Order: sequence, then structure tokens, then C-alpha cells
Amino acid sequence: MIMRNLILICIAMFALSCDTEIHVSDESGPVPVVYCILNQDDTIQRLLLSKSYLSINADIPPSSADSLLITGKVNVTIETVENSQVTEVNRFFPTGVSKDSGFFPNDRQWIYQGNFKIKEKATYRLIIEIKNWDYVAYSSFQSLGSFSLVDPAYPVGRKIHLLDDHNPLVHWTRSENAAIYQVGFRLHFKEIRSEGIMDKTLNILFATTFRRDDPGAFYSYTVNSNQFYKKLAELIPSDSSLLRRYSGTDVFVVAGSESVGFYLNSLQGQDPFQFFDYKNIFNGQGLFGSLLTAETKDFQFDDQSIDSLAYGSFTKQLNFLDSDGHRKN
Amino acid sequence: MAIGKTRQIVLIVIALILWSCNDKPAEPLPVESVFKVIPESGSTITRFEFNAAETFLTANDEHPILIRYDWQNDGIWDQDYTSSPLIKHRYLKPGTYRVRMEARNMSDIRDTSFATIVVAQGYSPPVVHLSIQPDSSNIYTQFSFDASKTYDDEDSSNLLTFRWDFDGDGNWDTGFDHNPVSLHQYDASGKFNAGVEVKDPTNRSSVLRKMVTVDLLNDSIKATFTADGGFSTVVDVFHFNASGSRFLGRDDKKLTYSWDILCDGLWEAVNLTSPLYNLVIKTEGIVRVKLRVTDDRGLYMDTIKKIEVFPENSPPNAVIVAGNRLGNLKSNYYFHSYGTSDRETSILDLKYQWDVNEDGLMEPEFDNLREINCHFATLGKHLVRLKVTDSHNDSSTATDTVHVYNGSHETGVMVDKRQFITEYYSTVKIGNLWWTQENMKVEIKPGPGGKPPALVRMNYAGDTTLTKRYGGLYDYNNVLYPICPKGWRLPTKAEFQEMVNLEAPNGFAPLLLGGSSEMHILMGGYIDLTKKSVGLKSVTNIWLADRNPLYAWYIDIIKGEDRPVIVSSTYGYSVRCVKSD
Repeated sequence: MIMRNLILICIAMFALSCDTEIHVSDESGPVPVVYCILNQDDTIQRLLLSKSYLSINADIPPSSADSLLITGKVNVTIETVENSQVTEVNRFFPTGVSKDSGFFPNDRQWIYQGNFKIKEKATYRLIIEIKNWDYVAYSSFQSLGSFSLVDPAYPVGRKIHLLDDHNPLVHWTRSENAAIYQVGFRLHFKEIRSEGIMDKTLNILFATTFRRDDPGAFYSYTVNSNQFYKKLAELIPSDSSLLRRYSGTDVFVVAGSESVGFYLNSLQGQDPFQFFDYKNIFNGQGLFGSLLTAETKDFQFDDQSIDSLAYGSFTKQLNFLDSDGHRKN
Repeated sequence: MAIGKTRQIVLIVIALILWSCNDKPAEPLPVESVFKVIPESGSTITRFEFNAAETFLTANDEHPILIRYDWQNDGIWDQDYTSSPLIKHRYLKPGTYRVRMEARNMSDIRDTSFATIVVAQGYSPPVVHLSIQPDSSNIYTQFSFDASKTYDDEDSSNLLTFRWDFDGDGNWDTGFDHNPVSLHQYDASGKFNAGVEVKDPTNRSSVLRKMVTVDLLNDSIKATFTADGGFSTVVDVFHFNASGSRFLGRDDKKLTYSWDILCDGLWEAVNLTSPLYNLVIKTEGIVRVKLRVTDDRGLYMDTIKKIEVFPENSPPNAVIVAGNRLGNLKSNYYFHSYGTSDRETSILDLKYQWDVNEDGLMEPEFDNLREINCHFATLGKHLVRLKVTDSHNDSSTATDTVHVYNGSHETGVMVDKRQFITEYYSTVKIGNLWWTQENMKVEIKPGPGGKPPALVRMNYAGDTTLTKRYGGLYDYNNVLYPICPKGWRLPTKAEFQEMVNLEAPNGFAPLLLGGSSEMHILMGGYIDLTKKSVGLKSVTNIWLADRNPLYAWYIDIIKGEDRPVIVSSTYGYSVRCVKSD
């Protein structure tokens, strides 16, 4: 009897002791929301900063649009770390309030800008100090290693065949620290109007592919020809008052860092009623990562593909000239 | 014993409790602020190194630690948060300083530590700043050399003295004085590594040099020209006109004009007083033309334009294709010019003319038609001529020959578009069937992945020129491809027999070329089981659709035989196609 009682008491203690503590949030104020995707192809880097009220104990935010802007002095610093040493410190400065509809559209956030080149395969640390809150947010990630397009490749003059009977294959080498890739075609064409000729450029992006640790030296993506023409028709407005002439094509692949990969991958097929919660910011919300592009320029479509651009079912209304330079109506 | 058991169970359960608690959230790691100063004392020119490596011993990607410094412990943080354990700082004033460092982690756990540094007075040379305005201009420009932003950590700026080396030859062109700004005009063009030396009252000095480019360019000259060549070729004259060039604000300035036609550094014309220049450019393609406009002081401005020099015009490549080469006086003969091309002129701008009656005159009713239909009034061979003229009035002609035979059958054309070049076959209607009057020549190369599969054509003795006249030879597997275009098929034995009964009941002669049946069968020979070509001009075998057994229609004009025969599928025979009316 004593033994049974002891066992029951112990089991009760056991059960009670195994409660997992759930910290909903012990913060009572807002947290910074940071989006910073460094562009490894450029020297101008941007960071978007706002604030959010996530805690159930938080003050109810004021209703004005400016309520999401962080006020007061904020130090935004990105440190480059190579061989465990901080080798470069770059300060970001506010340039204005976002009004564009870019990667993370929001007109209630500060744009901070820095001017420096991202090094390959280095560690980058982001430190945001919000003076008024006596608050620090932090993040780090590994920048991407260089990579290159394998196919299509030179020699110059090699033509791209985009028809029902052939879907071009794009091959590229693996980028170290990358987790996601996106293939795109940059189409160059001329718009011929009565008042003159204008050079135009259009990026056609295909689906992202999450490739983090796949074995093999090369990754590949098959460009669906019909999908290409269909996307083109969606992106270019039809205008019967002008003619268009195909000029050339650049093929590119954009690689995204692991954080960008996890972020975009978690958006795929996301349940609309499930809150998205991927982040890699200590003491904040958002994303810190980088993108890098590999491209080969100045490809030409072959004559059949140009004719398909001119008279194919998806694009015939775009008024492209055919491979003879004519338009047969 | 019972108590002993109970104790054992209690101990086990307590162990389970302790073990089960391991999944509780980890406590934040402590932060300990520790740093060293190297050297521990110095002067106002010492760069002290603050090493907080010990502080970061517990830091990693999951538990980052940041530090910041207050260099004189006045309550104001002078160094922003950093993840770097090594920071350098220089004290510009002598004294004893109390340094404060704060370390914090992402759980807002902080620790502070202090150090004391004694800084003595030190002496350093001036820190020179030099601005040259402009850094590139011509020999008539007064260049401004400004070192007024130079400073010295120990001495006032007005105690500093300056001297200058404008041409960069290492010899100082001035003595020391207190003026940090100097003006200089160069008397020759070139690149000069100009320098300034700044000295402080303790005779410590620094030198800074910057490059100055002095040229003969004059921004006031606007150089521009037109190249009136239009569609000019390597034999045409280009008319260059630089009369739009001018000296801004001074229209009275006399200008001269020099021309470097290929931008190769060789000037075809130098210092012309006329802005007009004419030249034949014999280099084909896109060439660059440089104009240099020079003023009376020898200063100039260049401009470069690209122009296209077209090759000397080449005549069109005229192509004529006869749809039906065989027919009779009632036949409607079809000709087209598709495939005609010209290097310089669009095919839509080419002029097309036809001569169908061999009189040497073009028929005006066919002018600028790319395809025509016509009848011929006489029997025999007729030459049809196509003349194509381009926009430079260069022309070329192409001819083709058709045959008009005696006959009264209805005739037509079968079109086979399965190959890169469309093939045409003359046809004749006999009874209720249309028959091709020529043997099939089709050959289909395999596409990517074998789609479509190849249709293999054999040529008599491997000679493709014979194939143009006699058609190809095919084994039965290739005949099954299907060899006839859509809507057409092989004739059956019964259909061939019915045609023979109708047109040649008394012997095969009416079936041969020129015969009254208008079947125009040729003795194209065949390829036997050993792949040997035999029987040209004496024998023909034409595949029939019947299987089990396989049949061909056999004609041998030497032996005088004409009948269906049972054959092996591996023979190479001729093919005719039929279509029901």
C-alpha cells in the first residue's frame, strides 16, 4: 500500500515535471522587422526596416501609417568576417521611406543603404542598434560562392531553339552556401513606332528550384518552350500600333543563400491560414541573406523560334517580326 | 525487503524525473566582459589595441555576443556595437583615461569592465589633404592646388607651411610658405604627378602627390558631323559634313577639320578649312569615323560615329520550281519562285518577271507574281524563264523545263511538304483514281530522338542525278513508312491491273513515257538482294499495296514482259502513289 502510494505520488510528480514551458512572449513593446537581401552582383546594398507588434502583451499600436516606422537614432552595421576576423565594417544610412513595390512591398519602412561589394563565401553579420529602445537585433549568414552557367554556352552564334519539339536545358555549377536557384531569360527587342525605335529589355523568370545539398557537380532546369511564350504574352502588352523586332537573349541563373532558400521554400504551397514564421533575425523578424547571378549574354533564337514568336498562338498578337524581318498578317 | 523494493522504485522514478527534465529550455549563457589594452600606456600618436577575445569565448552563431566601448567613461558610448574582439583607438590628448567596455548577448544579459590608460604627449607629422581643380584640362587652364584641409594633431593649421612640385619631377618649384592654396598653368600637355610637402613647427613633414592630366581638348568646341551615304557600298562615295560643328559662343572662331576614317590613328585628311569631305570607304561592315575640330589655338575636340558600309551589291539568287513537269495541252502548269533570295534586298521588294513562251520577252500579265499558272499551246519541251531584279537593278534568271505530251486526261499536282524542300509530282486521273506520273523521290532524315523516323531512299548505283529523273528506290519496310503523303497511298494489284486493262490492254507501250495512258513510266531499274543496281532503262518494278504475299508490278521492255510478280521485301523498287477521286 505504501509502495503503491509512493509510486502514484512519483508518477504525478513525473507528469507535472514534464510540462514544457511555453514562453509566449515576455516582450511588451514592438520588435524590428528587417529585410536585407544583399546583392552580390552590385555595390549598392539596401535594407528595409520597420517594426511590428507581435506580443499579446504589446501596446496596441496607433492607427496611423507612420506607426510602423521606427523613430530615433538607429545604427545599422554589416560586418564582413573572413577567417574568424572582422575585416570590414560597413554602415548603412537611411535614404527614405519605401514607396516601391519591390521584393518586400511596404510603404511603412525605412530604406537604409550601404555601398560595398559582397565577398564570396564570407560571413556577414548584421547589427541593428535602436537607441531609443536600448535594443539590439542581430543576424548572420554565409555569402554565396561563385558559380557559372554550363549550358547554354558559347560559342557565340550558337542559337537557342524554343519550340514544341524541344525544351532547352539550362545547366549550371553549384554555388557554395546556396539553397535555391531561379532560371531566367532576359529578352532584348526593339519596339518600332512611327515616332522612332526603342530598345526594350524584359526578364522572364521561371520557377524556383530548392537545391541545398544535392549531390553532383551540376544542377539543371528544363525551360518549357510553351511556358516561355505564354509568360512573354502575359508580360508584354499587345499594341497593334507598333511592330517589335527580336534582338537577342541573355540566359541567367540567380542563386539565393540558405536563408533566402528557406524563406522562399516555406512560401511554396503555404496554407493561407498558417502564419509564415521563418526568420533568421535575433530579437526581430525578417530575413538576412544574399543573391548572386550567373549569366551568359547575347544568344540568338534560331529562325524557327523567331517565327514562332511572330506567329505562335501565344504571342502572335505582340506583333513581332519574323525571321525574314517581315510581318504577314 | 518491501521497504528496500520501495526505495529502489522511488530512486528509479526520481531518476526518470531528472532525466525527463532535460528538454526544458536552456538557460541563456552568461556574459563576462573582459578586455586587454596593448600597449598599457602610450602617447597621443599611439594606436591602442583593445582585445576582448576572452569575452567572446562563449560566443557562437547561436549565442552571439556584441561589445561597445566608452573611451573615457563619460557615459557616452563612443564605439558602436560590434562582433569584432579587436578594436583600435587613438587618444589625441594626453591624460589618464578610464575605459569602459560593455558586452551583451541577445537575451539582453550584459556585463561591464574597465581599464585605465595613461596617454603622454606625442608628436606626429601633418596629415595632408590635397584637392586639384580641375584634375584634367587643357594647357590654357589655371589649375588650383588646395591643401587647406591638411591638419596636424599637435599644431594649429596656421603654423603649417607648404611647398609645391607641379610637374612631378621631384624638384620643388616653390619655397615653404603659409599659403595652402596655389595656382599653376602648364605650358605643355601630359600627365604630371604633382605634389605638396607640408611641414609643422617641429620640422616633421609629409608629402602627398596626385596626378594631373593636361591635354589639348577644348570643351567649348562642339564637334559633330553627318554621313550622307544612305545605303552606300564599298564603291559608293560617302559625303561627310561637319558644318554643324562650332565654337560655343564664338561663331567667328576659325575651325579646321581632320578626318580619321577607320579610327586607326591614320588621318585621311588633316586641318581642312572646309567642313565637307567626300570619300569612298572600301572597308565593308560597321566602321568608326573620327572627326577632330581644331580651333586657332590648336585646341580641339573629337567625335566618333559608326557608319555601315555595305558590300557591293550582289544580284538576287533566282529560284524557279515547276509544280508539274508533265502534262498535256489541257494541263494547268504551276510554277513558283519560293526560295529566291537577295543579300541586300528584301524578297518582298524584289521584282519578278516571267517568260513562258520562249520569245525572250517577259509576259506583263505575270509581272511581280511569285507564283503563276499557265497553259502551253504546243506539244514538246517548253523552257520557262524567271527574271528577278533587286533594288539596285541587278538581276538574275532561272529556268525550268516542262513537257507537254499528247493526251486528254485530266492532270494535276501532288504536293509533298514533309521535307525541308517541298516536292511536287505531276498527276493524272485514270478512271476514278489519280496517279502520280513520276516515281517518288522522298527522303526523310530522322529528327531529334528519332521522331520522325527516317525514311531511307536508295539511289540507283548511288547516283542522285539518276534519282532526279527516275525517282528513288525503296525496300518494302520503307514503303510502309508511309511513303505517300497524306491522302495518297500505294496502288493495289487490282487497281494497277484495272489501269492496265483500261489504258494498255494490248501491251505496256501506252504506259511508258509519252504513251497515251500518260502514266509516263520510266525504266528506273531496281536494287537486288545483293544491293546491286540492275536494269536501268530496261526494267522497272513498282511496289503494290498487297501483302502476304508481297507484290510488285514488273515491266521489262527487253523481254517484253508486263505483269504483277511476288517479290521479297528487301528489293529496292520504284513507288507510284494513288488517290481516290
